[in-house]
Amino acid sequence: MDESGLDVVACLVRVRAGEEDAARALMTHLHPLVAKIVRGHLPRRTDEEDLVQAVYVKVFTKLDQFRGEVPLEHWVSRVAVNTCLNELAREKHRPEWRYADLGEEEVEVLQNMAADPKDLGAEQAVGARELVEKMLASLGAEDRLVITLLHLEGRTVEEIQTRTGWSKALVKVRAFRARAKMKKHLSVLLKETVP
Amino acid sequence: MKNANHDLDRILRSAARAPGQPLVGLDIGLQNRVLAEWRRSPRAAAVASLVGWWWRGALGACSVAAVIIAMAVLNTPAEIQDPYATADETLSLLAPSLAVN
Repeated sequence: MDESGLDVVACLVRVRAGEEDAARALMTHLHPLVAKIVRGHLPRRTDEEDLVQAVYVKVFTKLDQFRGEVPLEHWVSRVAVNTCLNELAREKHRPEWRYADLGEEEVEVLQNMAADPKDLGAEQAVGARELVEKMLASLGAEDRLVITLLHLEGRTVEEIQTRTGWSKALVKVRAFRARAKMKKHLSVLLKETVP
Repeated sequence: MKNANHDLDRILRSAARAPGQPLVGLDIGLQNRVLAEWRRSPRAAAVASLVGWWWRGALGACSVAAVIIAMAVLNTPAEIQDPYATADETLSLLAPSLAVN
């Protein structure tokens, strides 16, 4: 029995037996986790609800492969991340946003960064997030995933390893390469910025 | 490079502080669609499996035919250019009783 009051093991037995009520209860239990992962790794032009649905369908159809060696949430996380990665990998077009394409808030963030080396204020968090999202859009699926998990969600390398199945070394290498690409993109944008 | 690292960390730190949008809800419609897909999946998997076996069978048959034709061509003496002779050799390899003696 976990803190949400659901006996996960008993629920899994009932889901495997094909009970719809148990499947609904399991979905409700997993939803905060699945919705958060999908939101964090949603490809552009993909409907969030469609991707959530695809994750649940995959979870239920592959449930026989879950051996219980790891907590269910870890296994579901991995299924969700892989579903999102596959969806992200299908995106052929990865635009490199230029200064002229940025919105007012994003330009303001760049201007503040160019003018002041201190941390950005809390009021600029939304603009910074939008700018980061645009920079992430030009990266590949794995690069985007590692930056989101490491820097935007504040996960540790070990947590990313659990969630993705990558080795620690691979997580670090991917993070290093993704950061290098983002630094390059950001420095180009900052060069065009008039403080 | 140090500045670039610092700039990237600043913007990432700030972005991480941004308030999140409300997450997509788990309404009854979404639950029903998931359950319907789940119910359909064993049948879809069975069809996919049958199609897979059919393709494997077809590929296997084509491979065997290609090997037999190649053997027939190699077994036909070089001076005989007659395609019927090659076909006869192929038949004799496939089913010896059908071959013309």
